[in-house]
Amino acid sequence: MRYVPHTRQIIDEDSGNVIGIYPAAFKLRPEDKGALSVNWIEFYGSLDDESIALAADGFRKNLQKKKLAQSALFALGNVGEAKRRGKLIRKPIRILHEPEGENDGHATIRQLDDNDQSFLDALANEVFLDRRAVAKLKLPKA
Amino acid sequence: MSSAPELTLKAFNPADRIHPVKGGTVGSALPAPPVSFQLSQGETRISTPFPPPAKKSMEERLFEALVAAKVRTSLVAMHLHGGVRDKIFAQLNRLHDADEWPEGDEPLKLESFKTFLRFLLLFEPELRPSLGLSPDGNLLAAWVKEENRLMLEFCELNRVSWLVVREDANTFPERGSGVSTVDRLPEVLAPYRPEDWISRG
Repeated sequence: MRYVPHTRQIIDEDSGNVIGIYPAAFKLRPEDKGALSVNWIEFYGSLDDESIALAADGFRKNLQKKKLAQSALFALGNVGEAKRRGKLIRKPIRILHEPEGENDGHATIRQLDDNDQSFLDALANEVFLDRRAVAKLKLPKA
Repeated sequence: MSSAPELTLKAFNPADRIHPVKGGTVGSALPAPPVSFQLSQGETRISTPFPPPAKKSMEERLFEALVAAKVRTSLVAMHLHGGVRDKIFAQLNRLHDADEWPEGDEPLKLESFKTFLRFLLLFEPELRPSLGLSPDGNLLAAWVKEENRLMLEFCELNRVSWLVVREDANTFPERGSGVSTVDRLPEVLAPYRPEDWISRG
């Protein structure tokens, strides 16, 4: 799953609902060192609300302020589907479990061509489709 | 009536004219301690060295970016109709909420916002986009109708990165993306019928 701050959410201005995610949510930043950070939910158990909350907590622990924005969300995607999409356009990606700091469930998407807007959009709006609002997660106390 | 004696600094010689004052209270919270200046009449005044520019907090940077964008908008507000200005301001306010700000992101770049304003003036879209921000401070805009979407990233120097996904009945989803200038955008997007997104139709 990938953390998506409010600045990268497409929000319907009338209803206030999240109707999509900007491809920029999957764009690499210099500090990413070529690998996009995600969190592996199943590291914490089965794919359920409890594991999602634990994965979110793992992400939170590595933040400087140890605080998740209430307006942010986590976008959940299937590893197999993400890899399949990469193969389709002959840009295979690798997804590796790479614990980082206090975030034991940290994983990375490698070989991601983040200049390919179309692929980033496919990840954002066709693969990482399940969205969980931070405000509704039952996070362990920090 | 006697005129006040003119105070002049003697020839500058740091070795014997400027004496650091130890234990000064004024400068205790500053990066450098205060120093005294010996003036020609024997009067001593305490001053502080010019402090290095303080690093701005993220709250200050967000505020400044917001103000700069609003001032820029005000310069062209007479060309924006139907409460467009207020809607843009509301979205910019939401995007620059300091409590929700993502770590490591840059506030809106003014050059990106200028490109967006130029787009608004040229296209006059009837339907307002949802606005977002890229990690490096470029303004993002999106129009979404079910599975169809048009997304733009406004960069400096009138450059726009665009992405279109169109799914008509019984056809494989058509995708297109590229980089253009605002001025060329109408021609570049024409095959994708952008009016379906930005016009009330």
